Amino acid sequence: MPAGAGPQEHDRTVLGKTAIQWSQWRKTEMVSFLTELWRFMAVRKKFWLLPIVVMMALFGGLVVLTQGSAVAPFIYTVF
Amino acid sequence: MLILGLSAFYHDSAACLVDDGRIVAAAQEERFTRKKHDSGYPEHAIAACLAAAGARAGDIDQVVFYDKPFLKFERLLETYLAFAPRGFRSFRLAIPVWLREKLFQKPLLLARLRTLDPEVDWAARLLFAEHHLSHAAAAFFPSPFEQAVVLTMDGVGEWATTSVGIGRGHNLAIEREIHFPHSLGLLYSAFTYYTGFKVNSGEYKVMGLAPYGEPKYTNAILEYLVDLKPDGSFQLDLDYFDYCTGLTMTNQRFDALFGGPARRPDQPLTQRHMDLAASVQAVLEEAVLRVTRSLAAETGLRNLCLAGGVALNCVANGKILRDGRFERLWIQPAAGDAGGALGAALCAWHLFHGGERQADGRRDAMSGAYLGPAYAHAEIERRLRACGAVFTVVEDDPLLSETVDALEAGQAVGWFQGRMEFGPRALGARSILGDARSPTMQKILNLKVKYRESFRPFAPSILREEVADWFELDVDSPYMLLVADVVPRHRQAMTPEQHALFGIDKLNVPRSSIPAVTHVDYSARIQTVHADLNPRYHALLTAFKARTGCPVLVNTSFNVRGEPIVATPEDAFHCFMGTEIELLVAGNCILRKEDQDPSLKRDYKDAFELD
Repeated sequence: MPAGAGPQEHDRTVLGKTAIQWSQWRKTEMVSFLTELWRFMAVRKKFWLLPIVVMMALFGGLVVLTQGSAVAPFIYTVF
Repeated sequence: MLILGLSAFYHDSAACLVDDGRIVAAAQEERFTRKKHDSGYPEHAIAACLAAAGARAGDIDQVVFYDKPFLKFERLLETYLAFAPRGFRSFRLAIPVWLREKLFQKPLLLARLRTLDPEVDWAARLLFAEHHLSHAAAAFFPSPFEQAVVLTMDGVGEWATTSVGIGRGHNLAIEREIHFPHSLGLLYSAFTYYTGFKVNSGEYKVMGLAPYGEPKYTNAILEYLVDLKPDGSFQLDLDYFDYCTGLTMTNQRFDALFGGPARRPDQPLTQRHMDLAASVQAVLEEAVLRVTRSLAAETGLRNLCLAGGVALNCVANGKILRDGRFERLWIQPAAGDAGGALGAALCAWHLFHGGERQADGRRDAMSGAYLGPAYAHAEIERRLRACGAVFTVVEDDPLLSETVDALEAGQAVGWFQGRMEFGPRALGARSILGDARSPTMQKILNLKVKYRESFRPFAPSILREEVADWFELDVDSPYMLLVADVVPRHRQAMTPEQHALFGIDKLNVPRSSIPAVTHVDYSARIQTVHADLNPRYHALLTAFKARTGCPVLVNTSFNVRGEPIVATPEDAFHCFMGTEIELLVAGNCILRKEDQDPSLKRDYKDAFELD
């Protein structure tokens, strides 16, 4: 992709060196994350998103478990 | 109460520190990492803010992030779902990043904050503000107005792309929003992409290109791309855009409508590209004016505050001002996402904690946007000496006089003084200056100093008390966010032959007695310089006027194309040595190019990725 027009490949994770490993998570933070996600869906009345999130977590887990860097293009509306 | 605002992980990371509602420091991360639009966690910016405030991390009472990641993720999922199965490629690339990193910004922030001080319970101090509320807060709370309409427009935040709020005292309420995928910012970005510039940084080039063209495609845009209502609300026809499902901004139908594929960055600019730029600029102005006229009529309020990336379109801002529906206009100088850090912190102080706000109707609370790090004279000398620089240290009066000598001789002058600016504009703290009267200055600065496209105009700094004598403007514009025309008596008429010139050829025709800062349509992006906000820069302009009769200087950012604006004396020295800047004035140190060791020269032209 030519530099200067639209999306470009990033050669690093999107968050760069700021990305954290799962091992850095505190157990309380994992619980807090899931609680907040649940509350978010309740407040937004978006429980219908739950099956999609679960499916994505399962398939996305494959990516996460590989522990490789998640290289992604720069897409204006996504990132 | 000390509140840290953060903007990060998308583009233009920044940090801002607010102490009992007073903005004490703000800086963008890119200035420290030297990576343009750096999106990383702003650790250097945080350190700079803490240093400026003389505070420790443990003193921070609240940390506020400028965006809500769950809401953005909801928007992504629903957009992919709405367009499925189209968009699978984009989905496949985006979702792993979100599942691995972006969805977990809270634990990420907590992990990083713990490195500042592991003893602090950061989870109890961390808040999140919505993206457009952060923009709106950055627009209203520092403004001089007791009450105002607040309009924010950008590409997209979580869902909102345009929002309207009302600010009164220390309260601010968002009244209505237009949601993704309908976005004026993304419409403009689509044309940025289509005319061959980089999305999210090349928009101001489109704005600069527009005066060279004729708005020939305005009707096509309004007929096919945007359904623009009388009140300024709008809807895009997504059949012409690719950003919801693809990896580009526009698609083949867009190409067919405008007669060809998008320009590649290495292809030359033609009159057609200038006409396209003129057309989308005209549509943007029409849309913004319809919104502001409708809001003025509906609310009866006389003040308007703007923020969001679209508010950096200073040509549109100038039109809002001249339209006169609002008596006064204030635009957040860091209108883009960097300013979200500031807005998020102010949201916490005024909206979450109910902190009071003083608005005197005259001065804003931005301190001229001089909110970044400053270097004491001794520190500047020490750092320059460590770089191997050869310099003389002079008192204030000879400093101004020698600088004026260089400017009058047509030299480009690096000007490094005081606290660094917050926001995308150099405002006389990290600036390259030149003589606006010189007919060759624009070309010299573009091609030999900034290494950027020759069509791009430069902006003038002018003494506030002189502005009405030179430009069709008589209000404060300290942040270079208003465009107005040179007054007729300073203009130079064109000959019929010159009139017949097209596009960029017109640039070489002097249009006024200050040609270096006069665009082809007589317009200029004006910075008014105020004695109380930047006394040294004001004194320099005063000295220049005393010598030449002209109170105007060219002011462009102290960097080359693709480089973040210089932050430190070392950055300034390296840029000075890598370009054809002939004089560098850093604090009270004067550096002349001919005195420097030639072996310290750098290949600077290709040192940065083009923007």
